[in-house]
Amino acid sequence: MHAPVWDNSSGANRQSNGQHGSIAAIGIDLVEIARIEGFLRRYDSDALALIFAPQELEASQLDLAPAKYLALCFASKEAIGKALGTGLAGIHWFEIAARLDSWGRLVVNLSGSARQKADELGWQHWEMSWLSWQNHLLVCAIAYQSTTRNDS
Amino acid sequence: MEQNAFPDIQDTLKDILKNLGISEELLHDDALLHRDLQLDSTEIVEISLALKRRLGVAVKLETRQDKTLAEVSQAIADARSSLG
Repeated sequence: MHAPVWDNSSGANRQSNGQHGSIAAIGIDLVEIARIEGFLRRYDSDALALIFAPQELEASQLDLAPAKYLALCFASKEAIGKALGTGLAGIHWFEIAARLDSWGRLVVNLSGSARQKADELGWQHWEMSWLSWQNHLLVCAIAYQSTTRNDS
Repeated sequence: MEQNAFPDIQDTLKDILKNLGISEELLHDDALLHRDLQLDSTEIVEISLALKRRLGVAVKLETRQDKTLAEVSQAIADARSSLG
């Protein structure tokens, strides 16, 4: 269960101690949780799989606040798309998968075209942070330019 | 919206957009999703979800260029025909 993370209204996955290179881009997104709640009410898992990766849907079902969890995933995808500078054009939504670790830190995993774009740019590391208040959730994604390509 | 080669698709698209609160008078073939209909990213996603539910097609509408309703209808028709 992910319930403990909601004890906080924010979380960050800080990796900015220098070993991951310099900041290359920042993307920010704000989402209204009620709108994601509407998605969950109106659409089945088959339709939602267009947007959310299987592991995101699975984790949300185990969470005490599934809409909030998926709002966090949704805002993460948007924030990363903005950092990439192309939005989600040419990238499937489910190719950016977000999750909260047991410490409430937001972690993302890129695959497919999303991974390819980030690799082409030499962006190997992402620092994610989030903040929620009232019915909104804000995610900030910071991409780090690797000092040398292909280091991980 | 004007009649064209995909009347059923257009009716469905029009209905989805009306459910999003878009006024019927704005729904014409050359209306652009962002510029003319002022849809945000969550609403664009909702169109894809509704198309999946109602027509069974997966259509991704996030592109580098704003799409007109005619282009969206064409994309839906293409996705439908690829289903066989």
